[in-house]
Amino acid sequence: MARPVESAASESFENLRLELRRGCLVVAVLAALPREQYGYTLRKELAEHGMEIDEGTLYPLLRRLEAQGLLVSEWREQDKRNKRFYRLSSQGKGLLKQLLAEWHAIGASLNGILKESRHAGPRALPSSR
Amino acid sequence: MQVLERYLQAVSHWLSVPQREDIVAELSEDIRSQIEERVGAAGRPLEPAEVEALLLRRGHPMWVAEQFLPQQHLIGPALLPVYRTVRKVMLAALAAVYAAMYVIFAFVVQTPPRPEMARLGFWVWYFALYAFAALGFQTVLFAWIERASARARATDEWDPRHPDALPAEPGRQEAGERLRLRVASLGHLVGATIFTLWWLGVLAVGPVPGVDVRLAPIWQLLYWPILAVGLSGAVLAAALTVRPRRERIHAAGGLVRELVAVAVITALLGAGRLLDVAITGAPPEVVAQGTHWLNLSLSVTMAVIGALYALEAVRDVRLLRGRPLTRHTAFRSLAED
Repeated sequence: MARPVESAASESFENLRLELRRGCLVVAVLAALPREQYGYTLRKELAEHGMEIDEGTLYPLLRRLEAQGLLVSEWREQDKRNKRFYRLSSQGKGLLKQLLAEWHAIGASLNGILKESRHAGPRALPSSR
Repeated sequence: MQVLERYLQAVSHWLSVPQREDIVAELSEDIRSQIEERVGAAGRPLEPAEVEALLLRRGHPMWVAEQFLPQQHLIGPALLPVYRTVRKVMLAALAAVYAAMYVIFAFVVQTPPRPEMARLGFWVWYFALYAFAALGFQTVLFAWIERASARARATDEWDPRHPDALPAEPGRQEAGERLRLRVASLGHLVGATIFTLWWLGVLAVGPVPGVDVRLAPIWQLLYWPILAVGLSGAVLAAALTVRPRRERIHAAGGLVRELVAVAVITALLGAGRLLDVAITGAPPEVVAQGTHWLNLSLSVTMAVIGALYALEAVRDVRLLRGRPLTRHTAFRSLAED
């Protein structure tokens, strides 16, 4: 049976949205770790700011960033339980600055493209929301 | 909490030893923090069913462990379509060979009587066995190619200025195609000429002392069609050798020839006995066994030749309908335009 067009479009939107957010997750994680946090509190903080991330994505990402030297971690006891605390390394701090500059540059580029498209007329825009 | 411990144990089973303890400890801490938060919100300990629901949301232990493992593949996305095509062709060829063998053994070669299902089961079983082995071999081969190309990528040896780095220019490709077609046609011309001369009795194979191998009477009945196949093969090959451009006229002529050849081979296989053998001084059972195996070998060879003619016929039909069979022939059609 053919799927309704709305459902396919909604699925495409969801896939693209996830892809877009995935690219931002690294920046969000680095931006949240100037002060040390363990995985669970980090996940909660990101969720509170609208960047929900499931544990299956967060922990491998933290490990990867640590392996790249951007984070440092330490096991420490808190509330009678061993927890692993992460924070930015000095290399991570430098890289975060660069990434944020890149982030702003991308935003500016996108705004420029959108502005030009609007001036070029409705035909230049495939759809308007 | 027993279910949580078992869950963590199941996750650890899929992790590599050096990381196992560390990952499981962190995962355990994350789940316990989540449980603790829920306990705080509910103001009571969680029921086992609630803990199970929480684990259910996290997913199968293997999938959880998988997210911590590096992504690896045997065959990459560039090679995968080629792998699939080779697999399809290989399995089709194997199925054709086994189908031909089944037909030969069922209808041509005299074997002890067996129930039809048992006979079919035997061939299907052997086909499955060889298909499995062939797939394994193909996978290993492609994995090796993938590794080799990954190494080449890593060393970055590719250079567009190197003569073999890119396909030749269109003119050169066309010339290469023509040369290949000419060489292949020359080979066909030589083969068809030798066969025709032998069939006409001009060329004869020297007799082996004490052994008399004769063609069965069915060959004599098909004398003229066989001669026509041999002669037309030589003529078509000669035409392509002189002017190596495959055109519709070649496809049409080839198709007629291939259909006649398939009909002749079907008639030969249907006759059952293709050769009569006499060995001076040999016991009758040895002669019978020798005759059996010679007939069997020739039948298998004829079946393979018949299958090849059938494939050629399909290719010619597609060519006549303007649909290239492969990229190779597509290029040829393009070059001819």
